[in-house]
Amino acid sequence: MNKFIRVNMTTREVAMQETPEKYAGLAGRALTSTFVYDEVKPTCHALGKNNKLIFAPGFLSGTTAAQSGRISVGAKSPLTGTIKESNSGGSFSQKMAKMGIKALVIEGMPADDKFYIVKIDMNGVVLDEAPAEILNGCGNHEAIKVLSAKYGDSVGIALAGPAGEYRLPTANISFKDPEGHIRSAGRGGLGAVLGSKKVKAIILDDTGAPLSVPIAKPEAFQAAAKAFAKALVTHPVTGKALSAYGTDVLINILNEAGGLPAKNFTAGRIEWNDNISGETMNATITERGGEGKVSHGCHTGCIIRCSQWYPDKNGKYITSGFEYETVWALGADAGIKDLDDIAYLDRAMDDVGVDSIDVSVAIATAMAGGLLPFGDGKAALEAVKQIAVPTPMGRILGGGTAIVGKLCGLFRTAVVKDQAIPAYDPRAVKGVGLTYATTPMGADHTAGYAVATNILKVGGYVDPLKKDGQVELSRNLQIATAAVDSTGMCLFIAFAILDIPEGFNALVDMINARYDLALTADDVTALGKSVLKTERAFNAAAGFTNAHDRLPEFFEYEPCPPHNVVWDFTPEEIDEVFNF
Amino acid sequence: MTVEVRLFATLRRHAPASPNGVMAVEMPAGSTVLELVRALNLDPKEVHLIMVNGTGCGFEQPISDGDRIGLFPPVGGG
Ligand code: SF4
Repeated sequence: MNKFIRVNMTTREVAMQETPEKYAGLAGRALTSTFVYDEVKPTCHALGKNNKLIFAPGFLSGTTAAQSGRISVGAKSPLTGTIKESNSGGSFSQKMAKMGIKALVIEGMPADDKFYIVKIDMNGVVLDEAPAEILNGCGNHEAIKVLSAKYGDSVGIALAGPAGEYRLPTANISFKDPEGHIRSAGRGGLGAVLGSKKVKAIILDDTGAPLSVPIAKPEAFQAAAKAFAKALVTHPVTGKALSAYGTDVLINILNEAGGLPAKNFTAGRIEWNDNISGETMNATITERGGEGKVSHGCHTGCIIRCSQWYPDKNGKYITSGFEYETVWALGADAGIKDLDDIAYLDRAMDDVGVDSIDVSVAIATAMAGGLLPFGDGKAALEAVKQIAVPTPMGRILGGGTAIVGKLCGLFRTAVVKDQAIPAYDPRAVKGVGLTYATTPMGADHTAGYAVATNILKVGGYVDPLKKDGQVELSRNLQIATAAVDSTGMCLFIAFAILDIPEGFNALVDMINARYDLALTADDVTALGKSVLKTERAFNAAAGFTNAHDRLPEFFEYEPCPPHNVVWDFTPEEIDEVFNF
Repeated sequence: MTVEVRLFATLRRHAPASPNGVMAVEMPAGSTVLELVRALNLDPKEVHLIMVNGTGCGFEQPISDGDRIGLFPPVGGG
């Protein structure tokens, strides 16, 4: 894997280089964040010509290792103004790795108004004009069909939806999954960066590429891959629970724990939990049959299979990747009590290409601000569809939670660094609150998922309502996550590797066997630390200080029922998270 | 005393009469979670998370009249 491709949209020139020495030992998030730090002017406008967008498969992408097909995308974020790494499933990462591409960079921006398709195959890179039929509001589901018909059914696709074309701050990058459905690099508006460079889509045709990436020590790799898969299958969460109930099983858990933010973060528990729970989702899919599937993997090689196909009453596919965070935001925070309404909203957000967390929390915020009727799923769906036009209402919602909160004159706006706070109330799950406050990404649960230890009792137990132990927990998880995000692995492997030491060792062994290295667990920690430090250094140069590492003030003085707790970390305590 | 038990995920198969897993259970005063779990004929090995009134705890936790007790098998997401 040594091709480093740069597509300059100002000159429309393509440079296919050998990977620079400096990046040879990096992949995934470590590569995207180091590159953005090196080459993107921190004070640039995220939608201007000086921002650069980089795609990089992880260390283990393109191998037979389970869960290794996540693609990392990096740039300066138009939503947060910070550095951003967002990763996704789909077939892009595996194909890119097999084609020998270490990284793909899109830079510059054309002077004219035409949109382009960047097509990459084993012969090189071509820029085509984007077909008119997929522009100006064409939904992603249709665009994927058109592009698949034009370039072949089995190509990998990364796509800016209508929201990306309009450069809205919540625009995501959508990736085609093996069945032609959609997975997203959701957070931070990277679709707007792609759109600003006038790239509508990137096509990867891996015809003629080897079936696997080269493995330095195949036997050692096979043994480690087997041990790794065994850990995933053995752990009850990765082996059974995630495939049975999906991530939405968390509705009832957080509801019981009093940490399910409800009615725009004014409570931590709801009574209509059974309308929207993972148990109900599972029962509904099973009962409706048809195209519904209780479990599904978002890329070839996923054995955890947390995704699903949610069908309508007639058994016809509505959406997949129907995640807890989306169901929570619409179901609990916005009070939409009908799972079908939520499924259609999820589909509509995928179709216009927006982050389903930021826009769903924006809907709850708009309801609190009187812009939409509370709990009204149909009105919310109409509003989301307007993003494709875009009407002023569409632009407002596509602006994300921070903008909606401002426009509605609300102090109760759940964002950090202008990115929406997801599905775990920081007052009642304090460890994840520290992650929201301090991660270089803006509020993001995945950056250091302390919920695992605070609520799920994975990797030990730290009382979610107390401050003790949370700083170390958030710090250690953020470090580990930065490393895992560099492997191409789905983050859910963490459940297994936190509890099963052989699983963690096998992960390191796989990397060593793939590249003929001798990394130790300490090296992995060191990598995670250095990624975080690089990201924070970018943010500092972009103007961010410790004062930005704070939660919205209302968490400090509005107690969250049923536990009636407030956010009580001092600034000094919060700043300890990044003291390493 | 009466406690409100809430069974989740796969544990709900032990409460066929209440599809949402919620039931009122009579227990002698001074019982613990473990005694409750046994009275419900649940295998303690299947129970990974216990919440009494929204607070995580272990099997030895004493329970009181009116408590809301949530029981979960190992589950996760994110
Ligand atoms: S566990 Fe879920 S998110 Fe992870 S790779 Fe599988 S389907 Fe994708």
